Amino acid sequence: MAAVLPLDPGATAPRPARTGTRAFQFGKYREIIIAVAFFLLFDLGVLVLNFYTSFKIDQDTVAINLAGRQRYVSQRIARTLLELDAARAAGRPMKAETLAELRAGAKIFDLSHEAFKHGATIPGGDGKPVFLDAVTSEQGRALEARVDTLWKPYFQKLQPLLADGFGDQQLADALAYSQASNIALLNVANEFVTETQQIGASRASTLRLVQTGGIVLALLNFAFILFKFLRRLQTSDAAIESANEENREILTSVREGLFLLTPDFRLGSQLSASAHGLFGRQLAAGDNFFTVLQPLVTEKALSDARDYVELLFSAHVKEALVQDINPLSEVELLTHNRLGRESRRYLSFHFNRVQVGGAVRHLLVTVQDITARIELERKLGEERQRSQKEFGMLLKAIDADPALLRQFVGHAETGLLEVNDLLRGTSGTQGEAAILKRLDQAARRVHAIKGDAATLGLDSIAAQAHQFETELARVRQTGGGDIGAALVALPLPLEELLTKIGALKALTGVQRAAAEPAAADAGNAALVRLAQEVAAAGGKKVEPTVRMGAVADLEPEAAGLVREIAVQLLRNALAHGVEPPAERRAAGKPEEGKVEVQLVRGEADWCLSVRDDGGGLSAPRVRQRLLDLRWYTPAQLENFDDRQIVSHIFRPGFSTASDVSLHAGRGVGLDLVQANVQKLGARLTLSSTPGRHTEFKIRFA
Amino acid sequence: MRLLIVDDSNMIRSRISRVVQQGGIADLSLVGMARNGAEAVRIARASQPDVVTMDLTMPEMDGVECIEHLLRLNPKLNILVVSALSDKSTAIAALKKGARGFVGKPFSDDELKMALLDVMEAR
Repeated sequence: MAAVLPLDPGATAPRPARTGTRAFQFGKYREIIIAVAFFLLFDLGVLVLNFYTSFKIDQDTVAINLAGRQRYVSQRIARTLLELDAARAAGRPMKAETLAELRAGAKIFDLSHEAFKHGATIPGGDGKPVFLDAVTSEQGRALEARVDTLWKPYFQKLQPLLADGFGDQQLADALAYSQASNIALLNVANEFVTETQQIGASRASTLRLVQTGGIVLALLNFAFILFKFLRRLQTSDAAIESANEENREILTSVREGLFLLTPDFRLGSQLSASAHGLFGRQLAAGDNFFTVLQPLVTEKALSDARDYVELLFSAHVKEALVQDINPLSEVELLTHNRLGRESRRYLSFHFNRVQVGGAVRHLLVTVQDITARIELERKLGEERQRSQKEFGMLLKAIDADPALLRQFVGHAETGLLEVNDLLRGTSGTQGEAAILKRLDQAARRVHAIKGDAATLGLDSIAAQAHQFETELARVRQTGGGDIGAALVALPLPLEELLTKIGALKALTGVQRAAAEPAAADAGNAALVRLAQEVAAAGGKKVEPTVRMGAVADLEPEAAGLVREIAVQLLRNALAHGVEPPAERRAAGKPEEGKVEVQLVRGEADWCLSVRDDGGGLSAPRVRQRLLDLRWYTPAQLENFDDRQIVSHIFRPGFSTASDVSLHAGRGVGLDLVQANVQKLGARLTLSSTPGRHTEFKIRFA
Repeated sequence: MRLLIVDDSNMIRSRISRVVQQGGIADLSLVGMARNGAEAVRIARASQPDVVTMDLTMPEMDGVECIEHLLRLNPKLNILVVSALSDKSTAIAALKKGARGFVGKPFSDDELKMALLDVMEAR
């Protein structure tokens, strides 16, 4: 079944899965991350190059400045030599600052020259030390070499002048060299300046190139990222949208009610469309589950449901081990369908934990309409009961006397076919009175079958015949022009009865053939049993005596009619004649009523008598009943004597019983008796002493 | 783990003990059987069980009350309610008191074993 809930949230598995998810996410974005890294790398590269080149350009500027200073200094040296020589020629003393300038110039030129050759730190233009790189370009070195050849002898000749007390000759030598090579030195210095400027310019253009290249690369990279990222976004958006669409489709078409329940018992935001219909109202996300449930279930079921849901949210309970006690597994509710009619439905709620990590985050609620299942179960139950009854009936039939059973089957079949003919003959062309007469005839046949079935203990058939009678009575009461329509409903119960009789017929075929006609004892015993059953059903006690053995000597048709009469009169005696035990005790009679049924063959005719020692026929009761039934007005009843009043008990539909039961109340029994009496060409006499007895006697040839 | 069986029916007690002892649930050994709640509390004091199967309707002290007592003795006790499913409310009440699961009578051997294994886990 379902998962186990660990108590320690840190203890179990889902963690590796989550890191797995993270790795997967990184993988998904790997290209973009690499592209971004490249972007940064390009930017950084350009920056570093830029920095380096700027530094170089700074150095180039120093070199350009210092190359300019060399040119300037070389001219200053030449000029100071001329000034010194002019002072000597004029015999003036040499100026100290001119000397100092010469010496500083020579020194700085030499230092600078050495620095251009090998690289060194020297005083800059502002006197602060700067580092000067050696000149590396080919042109630069060539120019430097030319400076070297000019400067070396020049510096040599200047050496004596750098100390005090030099001679005129020494000054003259230096001046002579200066004048001879100054132009050449100036030219070289000029070219050198140009060269350093060119070096600087070429470096600046390299820098521009690098910057442009870097930016272009970075832009390309950026475009790649943008493209890639947008496409990925689009793809994942499309995937999300399609997943959402699928979810929507599932939620709108699933027949179950589906939603999540939050720990504070509210409905989640995703509700299946069916949920509204199942609850019979519009639900909204955030509704309290129990508020929604309240109108549907009993107070107790609601509080049980609350406890149960709380249990599912609490960690100590095992989900798999509480499924059986779900109080909402079968909820019965009355709702109104779209036609506005009340309909009974059954819902089944199922709860599943939704766990994240170790905690129960939601409950998934599944609501199903299980009405069909419940109804099927109920039908199956009924069917089982019915077949048990049927089986019981067959057992009884097997138990019954084979000859009696055969008689019953034959009789019942003929009767039912007769009913069938009667009903079929009932067309709309006939008058209502004719139809009613036929219905009465049919009712009599069915009533006879019911009596016979009850006699044999075939309760299931008796009950079915009873039901058929009810149907007939209903049709009779319909009256008016709708009778034709009402008749349509009748063939079905008739068919069912015929099927049952058919089954019994098959059974009689299986039963071992018994001597015909029926053993007299069997017939008597069956009537005794019927008497006891009817008495027991009415809460009465009876001591029946049945002597019908002579019926065997009658023609089969007459025998059938006589037996039917006996059955009806016996039932009548027990239903209406014999009083309940308490009443009999009060009247000073034994609790057990006596009923005698006998068929005697006289000199010239037969006599069937049914006698009970019950309360007798009460003319006032019949009179009252006739009044209640509104068959006559009180004035009309005044004109009847008691004999005439009592004769009404034979009329169809008359009964003094207040309710219809299996054994009395339809007002058909005596009607049937009268019909049979007519068929037999018999004479019926009735004698009764109020409080003492009632006796029916039927005499026929 | 140590098992205590609480049930007023002799048949159920011997059935559960047979399932546990012959079915061979690893790590589970029977340490006592009680016929009602009061007896269960006495035995639990002496034998310190880790797992209890608990009937609900019993004389003297019923299951719901007994669960309360037992959990006061040992809050980490794993209690499995084994009862007829006639009254869901009582079963829910027992779980609210702290029992961890429910098995309805009648049960099959395997159902009981699985439920015991489930209840024994992670506490």
